[in-house]
Amino acid sequence: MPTMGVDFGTPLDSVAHIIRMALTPVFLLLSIAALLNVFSTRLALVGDRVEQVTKALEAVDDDHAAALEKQLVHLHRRTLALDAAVILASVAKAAVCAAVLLLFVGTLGDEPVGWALLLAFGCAIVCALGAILAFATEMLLAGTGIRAHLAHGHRRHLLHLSLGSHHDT
Amino acid sequence: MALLGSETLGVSLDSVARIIQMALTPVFLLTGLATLLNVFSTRLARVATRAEQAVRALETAEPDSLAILRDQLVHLRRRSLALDAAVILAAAGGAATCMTVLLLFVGAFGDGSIGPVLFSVFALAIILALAAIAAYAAEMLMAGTGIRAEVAHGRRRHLLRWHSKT
Repeated sequence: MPTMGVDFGTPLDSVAHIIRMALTPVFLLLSIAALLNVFSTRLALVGDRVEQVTKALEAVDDDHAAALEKQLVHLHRRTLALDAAVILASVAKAAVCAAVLLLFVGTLGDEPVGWALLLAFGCAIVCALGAILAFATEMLLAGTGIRAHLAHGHRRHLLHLSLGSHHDT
Repeated sequence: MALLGSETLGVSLDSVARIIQMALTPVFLLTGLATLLNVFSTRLARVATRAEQAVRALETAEPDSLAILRDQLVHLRRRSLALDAAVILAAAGGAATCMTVLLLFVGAFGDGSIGPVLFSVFALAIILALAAIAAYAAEMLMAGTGIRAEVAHGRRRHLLRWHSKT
């Protein structure tokens, strides 16, 4: 920025204008932060589950171990999807911040930053889209897991019941 | 938007800034959807915990409470399905919102008139958000019914025990 802006006479006005233009990126930052909150909460939950399953795996009989192993694989897949979501959301955040900076540079300086600004904001939106898709994948995996778990519990219970009635007769 | 596109082949800062300002509404919608997703996933985690408890209780249950537990499991399954639907719908709404912003960009800088597409994608996002809220409301109603059923069951059992004692 060699010439330092066009309207040097009213710097406050121009700065206020830039800040107003930065409203949308800042809101995007807010929504991505909310998404990151969701992702990290879920990642913590998955971590807790892994802890539980690993502990249960140490003291378990063989027929139950297979189910637990399957659960671990499932949880591993879920953490991968969540990691991808978190990374994409973080990249989106960085891109939004870059867009705001470019807005500043473009208004105060003389460099033509139009394309770069568009690229940064577009990259942010695309990354946010990717993060949401990764999260949706993870949620689908989780829902399948819960229902598989319920079905497994039900099956085990039925097995117990039939074994119990065998013992009775 | 098409006007803007024809005028700016070398992209000026002002035009980009104007498009970014136009994207304010979709971005707000994205914030709302993210907040909704937060609520949904918290509830889903709670349902998962409850399911865990119920499955564990099923293994060491006395016969008279078995039917209740099994009812509970069916109920939890239904609730997790509703919440899954809500989450998927909200996520799809978020994706559609992001697509709206992208289309806004394309519309401003490409020369095709994408007005109808833009409109339908944004409408789709709103409808998906609405459907997510409806699924969530259904889940809440189910949860309320379940709690009341449990309370009624607890009271009945208590009365039964009391009767057999006297």
